[in-house]
Amino acid sequence: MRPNWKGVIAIVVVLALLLIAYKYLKPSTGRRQSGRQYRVAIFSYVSHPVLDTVRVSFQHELLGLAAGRSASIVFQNFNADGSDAQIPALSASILQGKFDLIVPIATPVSRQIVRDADASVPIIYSFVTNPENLGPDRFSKNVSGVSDAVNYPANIELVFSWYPTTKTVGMLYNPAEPNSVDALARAKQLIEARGARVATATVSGPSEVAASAANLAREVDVFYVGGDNTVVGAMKNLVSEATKAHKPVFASDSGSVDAGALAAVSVDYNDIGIATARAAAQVLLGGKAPRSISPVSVTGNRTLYNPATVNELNTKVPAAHLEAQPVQVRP
Amino acid sequence: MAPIINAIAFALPLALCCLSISISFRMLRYPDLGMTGGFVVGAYVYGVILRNGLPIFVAVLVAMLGGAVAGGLTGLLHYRLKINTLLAGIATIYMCRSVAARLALNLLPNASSRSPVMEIDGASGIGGWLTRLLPLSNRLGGEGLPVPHAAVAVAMVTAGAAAAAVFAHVRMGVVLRAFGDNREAAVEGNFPTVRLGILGLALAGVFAALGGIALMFTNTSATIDSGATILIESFAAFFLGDSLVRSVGAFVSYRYGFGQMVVTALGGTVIYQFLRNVTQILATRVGWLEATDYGFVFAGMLVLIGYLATRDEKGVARPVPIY
Repeated sequence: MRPNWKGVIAIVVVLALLLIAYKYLKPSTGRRQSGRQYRVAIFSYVSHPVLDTVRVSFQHELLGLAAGRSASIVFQNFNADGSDAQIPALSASILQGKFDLIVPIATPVSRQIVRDADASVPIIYSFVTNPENLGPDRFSKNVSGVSDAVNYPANIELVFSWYPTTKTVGMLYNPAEPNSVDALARAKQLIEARGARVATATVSGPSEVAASAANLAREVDVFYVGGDNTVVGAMKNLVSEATKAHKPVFASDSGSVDAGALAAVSVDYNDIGIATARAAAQVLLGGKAPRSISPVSVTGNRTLYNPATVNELNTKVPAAHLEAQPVQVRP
Repeated sequence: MAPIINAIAFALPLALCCLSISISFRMLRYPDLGMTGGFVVGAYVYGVILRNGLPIFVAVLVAMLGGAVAGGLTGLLHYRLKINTLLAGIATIYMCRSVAARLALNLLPNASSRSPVMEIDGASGIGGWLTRLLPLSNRLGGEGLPVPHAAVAVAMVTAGAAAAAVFAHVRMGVVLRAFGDNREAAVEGNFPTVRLGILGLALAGVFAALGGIALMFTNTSATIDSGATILIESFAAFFLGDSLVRSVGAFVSYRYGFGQMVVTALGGTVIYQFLRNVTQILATRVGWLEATDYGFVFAGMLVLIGYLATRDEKGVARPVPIY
């Protein structure tokens, strides 16, 4: 077979043009302001309703805080698209970019960047359920951050005060998510302590949620969703199948109640983004090193319910939770 | 140079999976989705053995064996039980996910929680050795680039490609290729087709397991879903490399030769990684683009290079094989 030199040269030219663009195309800085400008890299694991809420609220809050100090922020968003194989290369690229601050969102990317960074690189992680999963490197590096803590006792108490005769609680979970497995273990302990049992079904992706929910709905009294990103991402499918069987779905976050779950003692993912932005502002605008900032855990303590689902299930908010707030249901 | 060094340094998991595809897809003409299972089993077995304090070579060897069993299982389901190729692969994926989760839940010492995630200490294993080489690389002018990782990746893919090329030309490999090229003739010629098929997919599983091991020393962690995106990415890298082979045919036209294996696995993966990361970084530098918009540019580049690589010197498309 004769080589096609024209084709080979064309490919080399295309790659060289990309390399030149990489070297000389500088980040867009938007409208120039008079104060100092900071470059922040946001490293997301995947695009997902929950993670995107954290990212957007973080950006929004940090821009507001910076504007109040006459500073400006340029964000560069990196996304591993859920590919573990891409995380190390993106981590290396971000570290070579010499950003003023790196904000990894979710455990897999936070773990990698904390491991790869040297001790001077400022990192504020976000949405890491268990900071222990970042490994021992977090103690020797310039790291702090925000973790999300689901209030399991309050959530299980809400389930049993709303439906006191519950005998079986259904839980869908993705065994590939460490936070989901952790949620199952904690909720199971609390549920069994009340003399009820847990029926489980595993899902490996959002497309499996509806079918698994339909199967499980026959044998459970209520559904409960802990910190499972896969199930939260397909909450409308779960609610749809549960409602057909006239079974309520309890969740742990405001977004799920918004999507049709009956109620939750909620972690508000906007709050996680806002807490991350405040920690980032201390680093960028306050001149603090991340290692001098205490990690923050955002715990859910706000009881929310969905009035449309309350009507659909023909139930009412129990007397013990009259302080619960209705979510604003979008049309 | 940074994007190129990064692309080479972290190419190992995908490149080894490309070698797996070279054996299953090219030699055997078998679309092996079960490769994902071998990948995950390799990562988890390697991690479990390291976490239990056994030597690295034991971890690597047993993980390779695990990959071979996973690949052999797909072969058994298809060649012995006559289950559809894709269905056999999917069954293997689910079986391997469950095996991997069980390994993490039951065999990890001092696990603080019952988690199906496999994590190893960054300082342990092959990845730990490489990280310790980084300061040396910086003193030699590496400027923080993962040069040792890149050198090791090139060496390991080259060694893997050499092993695959040698296998393709020993008697067993030649018989396997003949079986893949014309299965009907092999059946009529009384070849041991079942054993050949299982052997071929087991060998492909070994390379997939090596890819999983490589993921553990680039990432230090894996989940039972880690193989899901690897399948798509390694097929993309494989076809890029395969197109390149056709472009630079004079050097690598020797079928299943060393040059062909290296260009397919390493060339395809490095170009894939380079395009993916550079287009994503460029997208982050344009204010009005979202991070996920890089897919437009990336897909365009894949199409452009795929187009250029499949033309002959007169600009006419060369025939593209289905397998």
